Amino acid sequence: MNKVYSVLELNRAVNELLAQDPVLGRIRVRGEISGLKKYPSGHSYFTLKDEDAAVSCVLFRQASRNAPETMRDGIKVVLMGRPNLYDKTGRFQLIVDAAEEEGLGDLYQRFLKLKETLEKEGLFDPSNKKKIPYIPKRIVAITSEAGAVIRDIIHVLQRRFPGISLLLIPVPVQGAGAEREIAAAIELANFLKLGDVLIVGRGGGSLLDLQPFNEELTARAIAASDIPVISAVGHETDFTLSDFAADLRAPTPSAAAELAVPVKAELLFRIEQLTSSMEQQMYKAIEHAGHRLRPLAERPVLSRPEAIVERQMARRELLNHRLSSIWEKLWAHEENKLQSAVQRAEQTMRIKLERQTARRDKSHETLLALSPLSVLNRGYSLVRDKEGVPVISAKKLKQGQAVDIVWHDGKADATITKTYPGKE
Amino acid sequence: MEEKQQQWDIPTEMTYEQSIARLEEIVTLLERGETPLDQSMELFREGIALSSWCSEYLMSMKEEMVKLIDAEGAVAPIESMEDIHG
Repeated sequence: MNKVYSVLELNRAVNELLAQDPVLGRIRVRGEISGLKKYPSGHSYFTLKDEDAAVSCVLFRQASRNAPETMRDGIKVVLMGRPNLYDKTGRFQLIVDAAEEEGLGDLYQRFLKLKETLEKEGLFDPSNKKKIPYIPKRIVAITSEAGAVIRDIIHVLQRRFPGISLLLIPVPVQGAGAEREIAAAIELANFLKLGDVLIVGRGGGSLLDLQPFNEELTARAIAASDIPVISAVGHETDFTLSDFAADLRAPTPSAAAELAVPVKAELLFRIEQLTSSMEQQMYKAIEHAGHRLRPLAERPVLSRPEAIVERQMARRELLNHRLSSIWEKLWAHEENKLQSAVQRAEQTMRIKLERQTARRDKSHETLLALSPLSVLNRGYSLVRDKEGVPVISAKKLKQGQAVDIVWHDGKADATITKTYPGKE
Repeated sequence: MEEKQQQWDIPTEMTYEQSIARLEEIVTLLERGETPLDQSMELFREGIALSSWCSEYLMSMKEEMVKLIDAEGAVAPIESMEDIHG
């Protein structure tokens, strides 16, 4: 009793006492986290409190892995830890070895059991999944009117597909009875055919917060929806029964909006691409056809159609020529025949003529002897009037009449000066 | 719209997705270059009609309609983002 302790000795002695206590040495405490501070060292400090009291807590880096990632102010937890006096300050604190969200164990057990039941029922059957429309005519969002979720959805939709139509059915997304309103909203959307795709969801939260989306009622309403449902509950790591029941699970509400609509600008670009490549192909096809056509078009028959006429004319000419040469030959032949006929005729004629001439000559001589002209040869002359009629009588002549006097070697004009009728 | 669709000869029951798929098919056919020219011309005409229809369809979705439905099932437009409590 005489020993005087240093402060440090005091604190260490109390610590030893605490550590040796069969109850206090390792104790479970229920409370709500507040004033949580995480340090770069990896240690966290916070206050655990309930309605009546508060206690400082420290969660060292090594123990962090035994605490849920969702550790934050306001959540109710059950801590496993060791009460302790900090040597240097004497401050009473709880060194936390492990933490879990309160009720998680129970809820998780319920979740697994329900999941198994619904799975057996075929509620999550992939063959029951409906196709999300490529471009919905109207999207119905079933979520809280408050908070970031609907804002995120609107932002994403406006960015990806300006002009898309969105209808919000506001529902509470946490707390007792929320599942009834969510299920009712899904039924309403189907009954009134409000849209062609539903986004059902909420932002991140504790397992307890997500509970409405793990309720049988919600899962059944989603599975029964004729309108395809995209679920978007909490963070990427959160899987709820709603997610399993939905036609498509989005890791986050923003992602749900992305899954709901394509990017309009990309679609327009794709159309443009297709159109231009179609035009190009058409261009090519026409050009190709042109390549085949050009040599044909350049063939003289097409490039100089008059050539056809010319050729026909040349042919005609040739035919003409041949025809005329045949004609000529025929002609020549006929002519020959004619000529020889003529020759023969001429000859015959000549012979006849010669014979005739000979006969005539003979007659002629005879005749000549009889002719007055031969008489003239003997010195006689002949008087003829101007009509050529021999004047055989002096009586026929009149005084002053012009007559011709013909000798054997010429003639002379004469005028009758006086006639003397009667014999000489 | 009705008249235009007839003019473009797009079956009215065809969705955007089907239309764009057909357009893609046409481009592939043309790219293969095995169709005779007059048939290509027909395909091209159909493709142009589909392309116009598709972009018209996208562009026609212009009315910004963000609406809120209340407990009684009545629909009210949300004028701005401020109407959403955040």
